[in-house]
Amino acid sequence: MKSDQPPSETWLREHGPRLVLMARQWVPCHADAEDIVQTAFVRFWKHAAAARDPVAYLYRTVRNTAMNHHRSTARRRQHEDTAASQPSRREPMFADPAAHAEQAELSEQVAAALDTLPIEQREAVVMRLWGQLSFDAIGEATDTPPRTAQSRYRYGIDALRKSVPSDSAVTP
Amino acid sequence: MKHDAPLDDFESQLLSLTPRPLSDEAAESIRQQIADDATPPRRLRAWWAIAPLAAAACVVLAFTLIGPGDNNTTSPDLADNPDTTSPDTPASAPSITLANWQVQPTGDADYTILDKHSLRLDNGELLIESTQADDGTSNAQGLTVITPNGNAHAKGTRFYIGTHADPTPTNQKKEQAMKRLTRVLILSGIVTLTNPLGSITGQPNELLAAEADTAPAKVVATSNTQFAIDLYKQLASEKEQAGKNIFFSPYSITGALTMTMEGARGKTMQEMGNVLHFPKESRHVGGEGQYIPWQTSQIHSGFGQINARLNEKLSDAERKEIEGQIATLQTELKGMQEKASKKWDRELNAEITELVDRIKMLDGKVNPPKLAVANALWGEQTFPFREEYVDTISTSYKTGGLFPIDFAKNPEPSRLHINGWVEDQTNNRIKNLIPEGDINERTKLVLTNAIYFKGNWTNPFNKKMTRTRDFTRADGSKVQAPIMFGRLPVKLGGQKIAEGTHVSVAELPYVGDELSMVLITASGGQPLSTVEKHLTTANLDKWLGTLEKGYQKIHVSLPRFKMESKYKLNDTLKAMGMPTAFQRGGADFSGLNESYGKLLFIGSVHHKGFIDVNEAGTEAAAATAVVVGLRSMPPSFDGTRPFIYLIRDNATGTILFMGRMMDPTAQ
Repeated sequence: MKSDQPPSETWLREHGPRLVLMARQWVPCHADAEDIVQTAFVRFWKHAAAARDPVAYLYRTVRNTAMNHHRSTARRRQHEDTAASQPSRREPMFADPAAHAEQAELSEQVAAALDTLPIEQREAVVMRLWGQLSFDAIGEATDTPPRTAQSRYRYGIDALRKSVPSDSAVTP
Repeated sequence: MKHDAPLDDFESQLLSLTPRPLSDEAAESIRQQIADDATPPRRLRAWWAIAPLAAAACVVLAFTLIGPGDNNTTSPDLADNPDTTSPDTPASAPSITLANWQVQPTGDADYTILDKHSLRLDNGELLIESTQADDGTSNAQGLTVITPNGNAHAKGTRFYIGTHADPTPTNQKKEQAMKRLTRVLILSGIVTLTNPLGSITGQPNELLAAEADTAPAKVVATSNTQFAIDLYKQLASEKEQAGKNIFFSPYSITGALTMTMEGARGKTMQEMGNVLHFPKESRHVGGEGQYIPWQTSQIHSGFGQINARLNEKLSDAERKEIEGQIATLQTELKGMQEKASKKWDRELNAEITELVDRIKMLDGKVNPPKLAVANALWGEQTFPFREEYVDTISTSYKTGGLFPIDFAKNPEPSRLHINGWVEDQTNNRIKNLIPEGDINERTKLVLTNAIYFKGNWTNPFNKKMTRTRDFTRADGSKVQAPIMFGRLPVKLGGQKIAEGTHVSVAELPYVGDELSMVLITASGGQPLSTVEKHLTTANLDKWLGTLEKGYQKIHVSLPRFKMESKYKLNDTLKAMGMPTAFQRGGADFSGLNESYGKLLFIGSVHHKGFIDVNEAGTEAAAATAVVVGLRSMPPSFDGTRPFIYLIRDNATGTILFMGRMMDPTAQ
């Protein structure tokens, strides 16, 4: 960390990619996810000092913004009926693992498997695994009891375990 | 934040996938928007590797080695003990500029900058230095460092602050061995280290330390809890209380009894200390222990700290700052509400709710529940009380000295006067605490404690939802009572206490989140007595420990009730183990007066309580009075009248001389 770095930079660097992954659970393309993170992060930064658990609040803000975006997009689609204008169904969720072919395959399979999960489980898995949030924090971010967050994570992981072939899960 | 449980192979594989990063354009856009925003950034989280315990210990040792005149700003461990640095640790962690402060982690540190005037240090050490000369005007707001053991507040200064596990070798259990310490070495300026339960101010060349576990207030709180449970169980076991409501303030009773105990000696004091559960470490041993069995300074200090905390009020500056935050949030809320009024938007409404919660939380800080504790000593105006006793009690309990009062000639007006004081302190909720006849011309001292609380629920019940419903009493009979209903955020907990029996715990907060009501019952329709049977200090700690950290919205039903309680605790306290203090001729209160101490005894202990639980919140009050009387006139021999006299051999009883004195002037 450089001494002249503003505090927001640390937050952004630490949480940015995870937040985009979180937003990606609601939208199919990376650019939309980045838009959501931008909006949410700026909003979060205004109120961070008053938040009881800032990280949970950050994820909650991203979640709310993503839900908002998702619904308004869905409405627009209904009105415009312009499915053709949508980007391809899925863009990669994970960083380009060019150096490891197995990783590339794994990332595709995990992304596809995540797609099949109910959104609540997807959120729990992303927040817990990649966001490294406690179940208390996930509960706070999603307005659910921590035990529910834990159950959702467990169901999600069990489902992924079944969907992702075991031979894909090799050490990179 | 870390995973609570280790990841299995599959989870680890998933974690090996790296989320796509934020593009440079998006990151730049965020930076720009934040920079354009007038609101300054407030938080930063910085992590370094956790320092090995040994390294932390060396740093603390280094604190004691640095002289006050040492102007070297280099970390003491790096400068003096390079070999103690962990190989995984950066050689020199970067410094942070914070308003007018330079924060330099000395080695490893886990700290969070909260805003430009405060930061939280969870582990490790920091060197903090003002970047402006201390001309009396710079750093007007100072800097606050929040640590697990206390907060350090500095103004125009330079100091090291460290918080880490206590490296002192110990044979105690591991968790006790790993208790944490916060230490501050002041190089220049003044630093106040404030434990939530007390404070100490230091100047250059001083080393301050805070250890929460042994804070006097913590000791008192532990003793108070043990006494509370003992008293509850004792009252619940008394025949006249069977099936009845119980309500009392253990803090009020222990406060009044501890003030009284300071004047006790010998067995009287020993029993009182046992009943009040004073810690073993406070027990005097050896010859002195026979006369003064308890070292009470720590206890009095603890009461003083807790009283100060309970009576604490926000400073004008703090109030102004929070009110400013509220105003900002309210402006934002207004904008959001206007937007929401035009179009229904679920997420926007959720954000509005969140913002309202935050405003409520801040509002709770500027308009906290009313809470006040007061103590007073009322002494017979002609009785010579030991000055040391009065000084000790006045200092710790803020009694304002000893109020001289004319018990001897005006006992009834004196009683009314004391009862009037109690009424004043309890917002007129506790009246006639000392009943007629209990103060008489032999009363020498009355010790009073009064506590008053009025707080609104953070999330009040809706009055319209209150319905008259059945309340099932312990014997299975039902009674119609107003029951409040609501879907409210509460903390929940629970535990199995026996086969087929679970205890269920819920916590309802009052505004400000500093105080809460905890409800404990047996789940599954089991009688309350099953819980009471397992009610011990250790179990209560366990049950409270099961309360979840976060709130969850659940359906809550609670009777609306108002009740008053009244106890004369003489027999109860005797049964709990302090009979001697009540014995005429057995009690020893030589600490009040050396000459008459063995004639003094506790005539009565009165306690009254009041509680009103309703949809808005709770009002509660309680008061205790300990009445100390003189059993008879002090022994004397009036030689100013005719008398018989004799001189005898004490060993054999032989009368050697005998006479009568009728007129000492006659030759």
